[in-house]
Amino acid sequence: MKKLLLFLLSALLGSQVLCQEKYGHRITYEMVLNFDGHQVYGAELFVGQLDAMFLYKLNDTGFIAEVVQSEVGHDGAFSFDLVDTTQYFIVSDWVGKSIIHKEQIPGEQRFCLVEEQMPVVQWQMTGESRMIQGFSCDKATGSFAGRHYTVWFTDQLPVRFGPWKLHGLPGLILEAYDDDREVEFYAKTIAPYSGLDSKLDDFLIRSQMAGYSVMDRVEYNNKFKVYLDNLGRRMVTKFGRGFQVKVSSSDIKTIERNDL
Amino acid sequence: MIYKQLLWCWILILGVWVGAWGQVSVRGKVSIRETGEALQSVSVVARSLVGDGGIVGFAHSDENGFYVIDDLGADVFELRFSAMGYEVERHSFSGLSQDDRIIWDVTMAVTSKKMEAVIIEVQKPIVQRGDTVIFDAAAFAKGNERVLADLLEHIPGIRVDDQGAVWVGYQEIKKIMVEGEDFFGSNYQTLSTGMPAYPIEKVELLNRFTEHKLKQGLEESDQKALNIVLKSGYKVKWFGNATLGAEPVRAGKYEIAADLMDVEGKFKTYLNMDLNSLGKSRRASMVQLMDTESAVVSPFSAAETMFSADSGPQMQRGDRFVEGADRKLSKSLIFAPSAKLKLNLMLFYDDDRDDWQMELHELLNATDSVLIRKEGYFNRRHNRMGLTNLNMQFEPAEGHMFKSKTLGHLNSFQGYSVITSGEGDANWQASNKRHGYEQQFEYAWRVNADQFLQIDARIMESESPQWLVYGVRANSLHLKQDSVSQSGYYGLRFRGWNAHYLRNTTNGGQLELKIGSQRHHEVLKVDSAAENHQVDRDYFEVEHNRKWDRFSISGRLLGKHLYGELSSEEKGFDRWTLDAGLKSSIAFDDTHRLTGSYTYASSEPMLLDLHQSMLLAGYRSRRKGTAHYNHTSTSTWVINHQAGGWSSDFLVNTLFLAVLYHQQIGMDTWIYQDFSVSEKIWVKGSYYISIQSTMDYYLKPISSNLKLELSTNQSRLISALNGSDPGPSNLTSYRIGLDLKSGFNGVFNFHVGGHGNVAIFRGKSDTESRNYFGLCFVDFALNLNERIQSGINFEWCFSNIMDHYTGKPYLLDFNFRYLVIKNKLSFGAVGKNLLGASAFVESWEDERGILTSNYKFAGRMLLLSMNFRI
Repeated sequence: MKKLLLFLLSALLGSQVLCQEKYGHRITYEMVLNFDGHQVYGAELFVGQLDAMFLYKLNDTGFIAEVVQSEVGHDGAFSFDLVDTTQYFIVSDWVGKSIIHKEQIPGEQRFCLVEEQMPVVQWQMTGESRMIQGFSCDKATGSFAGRHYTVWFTDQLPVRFGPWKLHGLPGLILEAYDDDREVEFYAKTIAPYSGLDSKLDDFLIRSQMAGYSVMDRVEYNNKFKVYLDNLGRRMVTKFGRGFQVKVSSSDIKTIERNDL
Repeated sequence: MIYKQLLWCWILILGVWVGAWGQVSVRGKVSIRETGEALQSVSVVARSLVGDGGIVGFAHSDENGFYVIDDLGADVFELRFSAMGYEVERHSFSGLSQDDRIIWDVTMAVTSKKMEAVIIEVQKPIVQRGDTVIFDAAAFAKGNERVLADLLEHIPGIRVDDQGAVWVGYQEIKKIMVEGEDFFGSNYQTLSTGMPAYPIEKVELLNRFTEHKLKQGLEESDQKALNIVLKSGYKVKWFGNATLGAEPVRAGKYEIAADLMDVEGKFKTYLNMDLNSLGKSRRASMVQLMDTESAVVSPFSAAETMFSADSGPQMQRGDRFVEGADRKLSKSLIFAPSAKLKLNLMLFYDDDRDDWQMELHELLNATDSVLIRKEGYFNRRHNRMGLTNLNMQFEPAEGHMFKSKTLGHLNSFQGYSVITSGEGDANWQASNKRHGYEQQFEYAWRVNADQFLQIDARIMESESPQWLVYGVRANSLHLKQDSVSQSGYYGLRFRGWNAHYLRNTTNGGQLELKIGSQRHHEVLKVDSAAENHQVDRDYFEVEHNRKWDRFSISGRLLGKHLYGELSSEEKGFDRWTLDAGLKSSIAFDDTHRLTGSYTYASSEPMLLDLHQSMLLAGYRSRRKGTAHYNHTSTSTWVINHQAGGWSSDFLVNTLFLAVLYHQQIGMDTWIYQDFSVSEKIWVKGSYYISIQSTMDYYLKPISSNLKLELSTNQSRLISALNGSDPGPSNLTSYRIGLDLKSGFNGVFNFHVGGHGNVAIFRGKSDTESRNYFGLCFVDFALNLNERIQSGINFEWCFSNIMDHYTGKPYLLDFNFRYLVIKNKLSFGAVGKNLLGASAFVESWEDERGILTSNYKFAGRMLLLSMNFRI
């Protein structure tokens, strides 16, 4: 059913794009994750008046989420970190107020498309401004998915979409970072681009042909939680007697801090 | 009834409040001018036309072209309509009343203008390029930084101690450069404590720093250094800052400091002047420029021990106990006439005097009696030091480099101590002078990408005449004529050369070979007795390491051949020693590492009497009574585990250290006129075991870091008194520390914590004693705005022996700064010891007895200062 919905959505997006997208832009970003180290991603944002596609890729190998750090504490607690490196694209549809996000199915080598409502970020203008490469930029702050972001945007480029899912501002975001400086986006280039319609169609149709399953955000988060629980159980059973193990998922660092 | 009345009042108040906050709203429709069709997704921005011109509201048009902006926070504003592919439309509004609801329709014309591609260069606060991490100074500056050290304190992972030494994690950096220029070498504290912060644009942390340029990319270095990048405007002119301060109540308390620098052109200069009477000594960093081989050896061990003792307990900041004055002038001049040749001339002068007081109370268990000693000390140390250092670097061709270092120094020291005891007063006065020079030449050749060769030669000579005067029942600072005096002399002549070869092997490893030879001639005189001896040392060292992806292993072999002769003995000596070590490391990932090593070291097994107060222990002579244990052979095990990183929420570091002393020679500290301890002890089988763990956890909800420190040490000691048999005694100590430090963005920050130490001593005769010491502290920083900043430091100490003394265990310091003109002028006040604590008491109980030290705090002080920038 959901695959069918996806197909319809894809068709709908395509028709709207054809009507509206005479003008668009391609913005490249440097996406930096300072979770445990300094990881730099190459990212691209394709924007039109009503749609956007955000692509990103680690500038290194390692696309598969993996346990990168584990330890046994004094109290027997076992904790581990996962690096969130699996997403390929985020398609945002303003008319439908929805987002399709390609994610890796937790614990599997397969991918899925996660549908979710487009978030409404309550942006607060701070009144501060500065110039970035000739663009007059205003500063705004807002919270999204457990992080509080500071962004610098310019209304000289009237784009309502931002990197990741930081949408809703009256101009293009050139710089964004959260309070912990764990997630950062820096615009690198801006260029006119009019091929968003075919790009959207291409990605969505290819996703459908690849047989990606579709789920909503709640379902995905539940799957993730189940995956972690199972992982913990597997670990517990490998230890000997008298060794109590508690598995904690609270240390997992992702861009979106959704409650698990 | 009363509740109803209250409810009505509340509704009334709410209504008035809501009414008072009524706002302007704008709504309308956007359509395409040419066709009249509704235009959706148009950005509509309302920007205030007064004040900062900030955005006061915004909206996007919907699929019917409608937009709404409610609650506009201004009554004079501009509406700006923009959409990709259309001309921008603007309209200004003014003279509106609070409840106006404006309807404003707009048509937008299609534009043929097309945007050109743009490359954005955004400055990021932290950038990593290879092994270098670059910090943007502006992103970390809070506006209250006066000198470089203040700025470095705000960069995550970097710490600066009281003396200006900079630490990255647990490792001290090697040097600080400015625009790539090394002004002061290892004396970089001159820069960290003096260089103004405001011209700094970036701080570059150089991981894997290599001292030698030609070794870059070849040497496996874990050293770190900083390079300071200046704002462009300060690269072409002189700049600096200055501070003037005075104590309004107590005369003679002052501070005058100035730093000036210029990095433009072929001549680059740094001038530093620091005159103060606050007990701030800057001499220690200068001494680091001199080779340790050239250290003065003094035959007057008792007096030297007295004058070299710490002015205060190690738990406390030294400047809290010292009343003194320091006058220091430094200059560094770099002249680079071409890209191939560079000269660096450093000049230093320091005149440093400090006074400090303490009381010593001892109950000593002598062989057949108990000695009770109670002494009061007034100590004065006066050091004067001049030093000049000229470095030359010449690169005739790529891969080849000549270096030379010429160093001359002149130093004088006067120490004066008044000892008050029940038997009357005694005065000790010691002085020495020292002058010498050092000349070094070096040639280095980067043979190819995988090979490096370096040959150096060094000559060094120094002379040090010394005097010691001892008088009983003296008055004031003048000795009586019947005082006993001694004179001494120490002379050193050193010649040596070294060769160093480094090569990357084909199997991913690295091979390092070193050979060298040194001639070491010493002359010692006490009164008329003179002694000459020469010790020659040849050595070779081989080190090989291999590194896989996450695992490394290295082995090291060091052979030393010592031979020479003493003037007092007919026969010479000729000995060989061999040291070996093995080290391995595994890195699970970037932030999780386990390292282990085993080392067997055999010091030169030689201990020869030179004369009454001197020993030849190994390579060179040493004073007796230096509390120094010369271990003839040791086995050392080290295991270190680290998880997490400085940028992560969690960091834990655990160190296990075990040292087994196969044989050792003890030279005891305590030498007095009425009793003495054994001066040489040969013992076997003592050991030292230590486990230390530090955990950091960043608590995001309160933006604070929680630190927990746990450690335990166990050691087997050797002691002997008045010739008694040496025997083992055990010392076990525990330490726990806990602190919480906030990192708020707002005006207020705190750091609160404490630590406690317990030491359990078990003597030869199964006697046991327990001492504990604890310290709690609370620091507050209150930075009201960019102009007003202040801080308070409070400490409370406790111990099981403090009740016997009247000294208050409470300490309170504060600082305040008011910025009058940004980047130009500020006033400040510094208060120290405001609660008037008089003394700090430390006690120690062991086989010898109970030793109690009562350190006198420097007096209460309030210093008012003015700082201006040039």
